Amino acid sequence: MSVFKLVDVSMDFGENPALNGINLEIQSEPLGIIGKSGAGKTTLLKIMAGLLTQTKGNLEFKESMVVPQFIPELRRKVTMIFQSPLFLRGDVNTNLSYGLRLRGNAEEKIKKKTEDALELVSLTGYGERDARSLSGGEQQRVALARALILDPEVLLLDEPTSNLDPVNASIITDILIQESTKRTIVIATHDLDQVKRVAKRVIFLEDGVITEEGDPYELDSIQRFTENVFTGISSVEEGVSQVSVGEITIRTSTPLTGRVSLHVRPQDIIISKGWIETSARNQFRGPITGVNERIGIVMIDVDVGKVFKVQITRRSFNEMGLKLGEPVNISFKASSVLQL
Amino acid sequence: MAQSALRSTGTSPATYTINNHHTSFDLKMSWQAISEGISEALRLILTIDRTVIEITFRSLTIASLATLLSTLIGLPLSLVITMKEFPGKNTLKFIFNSLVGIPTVTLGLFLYTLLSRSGPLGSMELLYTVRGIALGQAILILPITVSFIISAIESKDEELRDLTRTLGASELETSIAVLREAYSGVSLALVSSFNRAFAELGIATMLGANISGLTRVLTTAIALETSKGELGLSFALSFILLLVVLFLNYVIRLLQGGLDS
Repeated sequence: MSVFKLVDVSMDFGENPALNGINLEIQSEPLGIIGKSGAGKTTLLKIMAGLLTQTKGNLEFKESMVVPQFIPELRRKVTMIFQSPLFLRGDVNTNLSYGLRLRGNAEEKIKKKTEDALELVSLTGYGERDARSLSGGEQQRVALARALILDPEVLLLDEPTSNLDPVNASIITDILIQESTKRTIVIATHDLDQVKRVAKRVIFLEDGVITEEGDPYELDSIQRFTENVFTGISSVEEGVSQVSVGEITIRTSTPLTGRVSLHVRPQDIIISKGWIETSARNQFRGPITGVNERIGIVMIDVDVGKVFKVQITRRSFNEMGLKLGEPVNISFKASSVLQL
Repeated sequence: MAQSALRSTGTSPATYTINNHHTSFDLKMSWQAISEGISEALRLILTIDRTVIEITFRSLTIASLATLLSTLIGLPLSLVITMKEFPGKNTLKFIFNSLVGIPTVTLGLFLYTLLSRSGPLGSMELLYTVRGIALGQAILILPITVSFIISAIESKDEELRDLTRTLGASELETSIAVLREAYSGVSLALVSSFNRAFAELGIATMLGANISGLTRVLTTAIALETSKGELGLSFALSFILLLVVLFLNYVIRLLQGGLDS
């Protein structure tokens, strides 16, 4: 039995379609949603959470059509976690118990459940702290506990770790892997490592359309994106984000903080034999480690600490006389770096 | 309405003759009159003068009734306006915003014609009653209650509503949660509404006519006693009015402190 079934679901905000004819069946296995910002990931999740109503098409939850009268019940079975956690006035316990109180639980049961939930997210003893004074990572863990305490059938997560440090992100990913055996998890994320660890199936959203779906290790778009996809921690300096991805630091023009995955299209990279003076903010040097000829183009692997795939025409490849093992420079503009 | 005219006698710039159809007398304006007024005021307050107590109590009662009525209508109305989408929503909000500053005498005049014996609502016999003044002031402060509550609720964004909904709240429970989050702004709305009702003169005069022992309130009594030259009672009542208004402003400040935190 499918948990969710979306038939030709579209969503218009004014003129721009946020989603366009989505057909998707979600079984109980964890699903990842990847795609750039603005691709429609949040809208898709909010429709499934019963927080938005599609302008066209049908949504089914466990083979029942989601009609307006059914939405309150849907909301009690499906809980969503937002990118930036939001809290109600009061301490952590107040926030954790809110949903339980709405469901008419006894105080004793609420007390026991809040303690268990805090233990689950490794925040035992945090119950009486002001939720809004916690660190970003702690806040997101409380938000996760607040959702899990309700024992939802489906947990929807909208980029839950995109603003977090690696330690907190990893704690959350571990909890999600553990929870995926108990409930259906649907996670939208920019973090490809996370999607591979959590999800069994992935859809790729592009401009409100599902362009691909499949196993996270086989998905073409992920394969395509594993070409020149680098995940690291970003910090902003003088309006330029510096993303440290291990051996090298990539500069990107969009201000990003936290853990991000970046992509540079192979055709946006320039290859040169020596250092060139250029406006491109990114320039690295390393040997050619692979050459793959395709029709009319050549894909070159350059290892500058990370392996970049560079696409050049066959003609420039011949004219430059590039050889395997030869050290070259690669350069690309900060604005050519895309955030996944 | 008493017809009064102020005319300079020309002998001294500080000396005026006040003419109205009851009395005609000279009023010497000097510091002496003010200091006498203040000491008389203190005596009246300290001896707990019955008239002063009665008038103050009536003012508080009427403003409380007006605020209660305005809240009973304004709170659900604000919730509907903020939570629901409907055509003309922005126009409605604009109207309420504009009516915040409606002149009290203008509204008083409208209500007077409506409530007067020969008026369309004359049969309700609300003119020259406490209930009548309270009703008039409730109408006066309704725009304040509604506008302030709307802006308090709107300061809490849509994400808060999404959060409570996804945690299983019904629309009503979501509204209650939003009101609780906007608590300081909502209290501010109610205190401001009370303040305006308590300190206004136009409606109390038009609908109450300042009848001693019946509809006399602080503001109308101050106006009358001053025109009679009874500065002592005027000052006493003014001090009480000021004290209550200052106290309310102090409450507002405390609430805004809550807003900031």
